[in-house]
Amino acid sequence: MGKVIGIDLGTTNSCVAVLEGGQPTVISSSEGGRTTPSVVGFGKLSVSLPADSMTGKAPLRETHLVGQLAKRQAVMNAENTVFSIKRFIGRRWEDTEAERSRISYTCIKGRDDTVDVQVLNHYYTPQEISAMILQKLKQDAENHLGESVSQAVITVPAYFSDAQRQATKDAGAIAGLEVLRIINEPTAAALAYGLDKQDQDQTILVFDLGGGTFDVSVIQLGDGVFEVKATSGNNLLGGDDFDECILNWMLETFQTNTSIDLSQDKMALQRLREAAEKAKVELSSTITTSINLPFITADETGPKHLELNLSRAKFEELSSHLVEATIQPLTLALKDCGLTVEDIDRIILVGGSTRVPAVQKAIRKYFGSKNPDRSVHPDEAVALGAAIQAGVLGGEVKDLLLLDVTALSLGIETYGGVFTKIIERNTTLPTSRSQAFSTATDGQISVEIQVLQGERAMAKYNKTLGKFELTGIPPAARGVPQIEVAFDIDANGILNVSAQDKGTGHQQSIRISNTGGLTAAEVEQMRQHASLHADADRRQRERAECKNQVDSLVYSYESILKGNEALIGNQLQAAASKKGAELKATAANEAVTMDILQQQIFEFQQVVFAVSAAVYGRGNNSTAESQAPTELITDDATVISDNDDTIINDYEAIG
Amino acid sequence: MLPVVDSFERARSHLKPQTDQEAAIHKSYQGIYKQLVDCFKRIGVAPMRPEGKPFDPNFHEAVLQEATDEYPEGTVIEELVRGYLLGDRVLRHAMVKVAAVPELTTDADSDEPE
Repeated sequence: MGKVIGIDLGTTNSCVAVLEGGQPTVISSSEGGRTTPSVVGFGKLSVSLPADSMTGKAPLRETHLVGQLAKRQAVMNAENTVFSIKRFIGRRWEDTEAERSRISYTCIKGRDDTVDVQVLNHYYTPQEISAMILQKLKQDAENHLGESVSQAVITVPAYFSDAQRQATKDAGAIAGLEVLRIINEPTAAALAYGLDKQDQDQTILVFDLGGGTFDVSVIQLGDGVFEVKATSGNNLLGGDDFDECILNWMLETFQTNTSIDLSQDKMALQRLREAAEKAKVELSSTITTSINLPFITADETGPKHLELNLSRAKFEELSSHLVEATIQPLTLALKDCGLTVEDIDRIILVGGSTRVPAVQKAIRKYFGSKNPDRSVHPDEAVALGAAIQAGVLGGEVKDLLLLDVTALSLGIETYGGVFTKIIERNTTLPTSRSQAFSTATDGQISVEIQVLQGERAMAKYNKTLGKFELTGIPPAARGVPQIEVAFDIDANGILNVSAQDKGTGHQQSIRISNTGGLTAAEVEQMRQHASLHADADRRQRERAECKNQVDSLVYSYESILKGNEALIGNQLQAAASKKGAELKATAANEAVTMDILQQQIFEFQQVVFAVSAAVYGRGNNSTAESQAPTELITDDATVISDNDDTIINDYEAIG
Repeated sequence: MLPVVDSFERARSHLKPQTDQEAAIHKSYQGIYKQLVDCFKRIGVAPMRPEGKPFDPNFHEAVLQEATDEYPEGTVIEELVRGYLLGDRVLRHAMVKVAAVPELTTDADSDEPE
């Protein structure tokens, strides 16, 4: 098996890393950068690609450019250059109005209200665009490693919805990467800081100020499990805003000194912008910097030079509103998880803009004496963390590490009081599963969905999280209506259960935000109970299943009988009815052992088979075939359920 | 070091010496520029000279776009900041102005035609 790579798929920049000799290492792009701009440009020009990136099969590369190359041609090809695609991935059209107003490329409404990108008469989903970036990162990793790469861990912001995560995963698949895991960016950053190695429980605040987005996450760490407690942020705040501050100041100062407005001179602006970024970077390590741009412009009196000194104090004054803007999300995140400044054990800084001294000063001030930890390269921390996780999954790191998992299984109560698990315990979050169920009686028009958490086989022994009713099911024979029950847990452990009648499209759902409401001790207790009672539970479950089988058999028999009385001999009919009644009585008697019950089921089955044979025999000879299919549907429909579970899942009848 | 070369070049294009004396000073400074360029040449640094070539993001960074009939679309028409190669590696990308199709200029957010 090849190496598993870790990818930080960012809004403005992406980064790829891999574990080499136990150490996570960032892989440079073929252009030499440590990070790759998350930009895809669709060429209206035919462009020769550098030789090294042409090696290998790269079908996606023929018509587009990714990263630095795409960025360099952006000016001349603005409407065909896609950036910040992460703002659209997995999101709905109506939720992205603000984002759509700020881009130079064309967005159109895609399938299911998603956002698609229209470029040169082609439509691309955000997944496809992201896949192009991933493909490029994959290629760079392959060039670096000298072997093919097929598996990856990709990071996403902690607040990403299940749809966004799924879309990111799909993007990986399109790029030819099996996404072994989607992990939260703050979790990855914490991994990069080696926080998983601490044995005590910790609460960590991750402060991530990137190129264009700002995220705050509070995560709790214990027993190798990371739990995201709260997230907050501002997705329109980033390092670019700091550059903009300096740029505006330079323009104003120059205009005051010379009465020349440089903001219309694109060439001058370009130089100013570069100088602004350089000044910002320099002010992270020096107290003052000089900005020197000779021959920036000229007027009738001769050439003009721009010579300015910018002190750190002045820069802090210019950018104070930006620094302040980071404080409110901080407060919000702490409030959301009910913690105070004192409860935070560690603060870790991620994103290049956290190098700005004013930002660090603000954090120190906010957290009293606590010093933020910035020992890991802030631009690379997330990718490095992803690489560590990749190493764990690839078997290179031996430490057991569980990440963001469900503590207990989740499911619903089904016919006979059986607990049908839909999401197994220790499933990595976020997750979503769905399963099809049906009704238990004829003409049933509503089903009750009872959401449960626990490990026991019978519903009554598990914890009820909530219940709701799906009504308005058109009356039909049992087993005919198809009700899809979907469980969806997001990164914050918020569970969303929905039930939809596939026939009518009618839907009901419930939101349970407290799935993590069990303490560790409770979880352990529930788990132990489960193994302790495993035998008893299994017997109970088997009995419940047998009863379901009896009901189902009797029902089939009765439906065959209906309208077919003439085809079945009186004698056979009498024998079958007697057996059926007997069986029902046996099933209702708790004292009867399972063996006897199963024996009776078997006998009755034989009788029913004989009845069916009689019906079929006649049906084939005559033209009266119409009855046979009806019966078949009934039989099939009772086991429509799911793909991997063989239990017959019928709902408990209501009322 | 390259920004120094840029500044010398800008000085050469901007400064118009009026008197002999000014011309002498100007010339001596341009002597320093030549020396600098010679030093670069000796270690293998070469300017790209992209004018007239098709735009290639491997070497060029598009900064401006200009509608023109004189060149086919996508041709580099002016080098704004000189690009340099060191051997076959790009030392610095050239910032260039690229030709655009005149009709497209209204929606392509580009410069006014000259």
